Amino acid sequence: MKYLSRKHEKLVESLRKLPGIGRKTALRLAFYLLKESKDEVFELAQAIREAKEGVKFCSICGNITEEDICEVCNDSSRDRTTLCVVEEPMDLYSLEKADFYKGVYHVLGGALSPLDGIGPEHLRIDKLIERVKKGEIQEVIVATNPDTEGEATALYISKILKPCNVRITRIATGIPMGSNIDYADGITLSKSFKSRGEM
Amino acid sequence: MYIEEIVLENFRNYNEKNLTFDKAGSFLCGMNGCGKTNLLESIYILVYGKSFKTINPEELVMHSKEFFRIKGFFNGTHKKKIEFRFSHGKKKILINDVEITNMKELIGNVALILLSLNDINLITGEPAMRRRFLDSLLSLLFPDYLSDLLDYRRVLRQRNKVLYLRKIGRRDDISGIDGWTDELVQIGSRIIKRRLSIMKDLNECASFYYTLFSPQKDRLSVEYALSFQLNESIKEGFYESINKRREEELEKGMTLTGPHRDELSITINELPIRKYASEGEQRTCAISLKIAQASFLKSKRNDSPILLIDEAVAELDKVRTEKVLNSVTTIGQCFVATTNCEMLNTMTTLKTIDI
Repeated sequence: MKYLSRKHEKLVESLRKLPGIGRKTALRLAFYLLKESKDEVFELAQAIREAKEGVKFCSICGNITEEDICEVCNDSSRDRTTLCVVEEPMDLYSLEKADFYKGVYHVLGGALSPLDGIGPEHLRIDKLIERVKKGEIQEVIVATNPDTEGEATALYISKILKPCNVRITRIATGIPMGSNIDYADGITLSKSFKSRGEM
Repeated sequence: MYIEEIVLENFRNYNEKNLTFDKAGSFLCGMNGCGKTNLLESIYILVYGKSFKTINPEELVMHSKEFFRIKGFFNGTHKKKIEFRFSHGKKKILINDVEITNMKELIGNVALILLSLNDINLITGEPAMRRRFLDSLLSLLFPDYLSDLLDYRRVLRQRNKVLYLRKIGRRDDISGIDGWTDELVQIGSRIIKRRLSIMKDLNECASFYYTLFSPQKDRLSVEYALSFQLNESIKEGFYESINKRREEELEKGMTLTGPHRDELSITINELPIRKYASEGEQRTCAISLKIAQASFLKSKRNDSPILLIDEAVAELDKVRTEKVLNSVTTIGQCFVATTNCEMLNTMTTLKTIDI
């Protein structure tokens, strides 16, 4: 017996495509869904359908929204002279949850990665240049991930925004708050020393 | 560090074997095929988490058995028990009875150098062999070197992909490449700087041993050969070269400048060793480099390395063999596997273990 049921197997394969889900987790989720009441499961299916149909990307910043323009871009109290560049809406969400940043955002929709077929034209970089060229923005904070792809994307952005004459900054890297120095690896430690500040 | 005891279960030709060793090491004597190299291999696996003979651990399991286990008890700067288990396609490594999740936790605990007849590839082989020699030494000395190296390889692959897609016509432009170039130069310059920082000491050390082993008192020199002209700084030279060679890069579809194209230039009496030296001289040179690596590790890490010598001296003359053996035994614990026990036995005071 290779699989229990073809329909079940199809569900497992679909779940497996989700980020962070391996074969085992997919199997467990599929069994869980089959065991749950019909109402519960249909509600989930309906929620997925509605979200997919009803949610789109903000025409200014690329954040997710149900309207044409997202809540952040619509909020007149936000500081429109500071722009924070992030890879995904998820990153924007984390920053908003932390509730300290009062500027606006630009969501790229990923990071440069030629090996995965992602070049500048797949990211919302043209839109970014367009926004900066309007002249209102004074500082661009590049908050892409501190991995090889995020770093290359940050360097690329800083290069193409150079002629626009804005302040371009990069978020710091180092020891996370609430953790211990003895748990940090060598790279993190050396980076945190390089970007140390006066007290 | 040194190894005091090893316990083997179902490993290659060892069903059950328990051996204890001197701090100085030992001679492993026996005929071909009796398992001398297998014993060296088992010690190597405990230190590096992989074999130097095969990438498939399945081959290490004794015929018709289902698992193997190696346990090693190390002593020196501190006591450490390392265990390597392999069963049903899965390996498990435990340090002091605690399972590790990342290979980085294993590597660096014990410094170990293997000398074998294959070392001649260090001299006659591709430049990549010599870069690997430097990289493995630097990775043991500086923990951040290895992660720079892995990042560099990733960035290089990404940058090459941009150039390659343009070359085969899948894309008309190379937009986005500036980001990759900047990152490549930043990480690459750090790698080159680290490599250059040890060259003076490494050269002195290797040429000391070469002169010691060579009866004619020839001079060995090991220098770092950059793939570009040094400008004001490494970074500037790197940038300048990468910009100058853009056309060529587009034509070939790959990055032509950087630490992945650098070399070690090795000469004897100022003549390139690959072309002008005899095989005996080349072997002596390879051994000098390896011993220099071991002695370098000892002084920088403040800890004696373990040396595994697998017939590496088999093709040297008697005078050189004696000098090599005398040198290695002063550096750390030595395991010398040989079929020629009568001759070697007279040369040092290492205890003999018959296998």
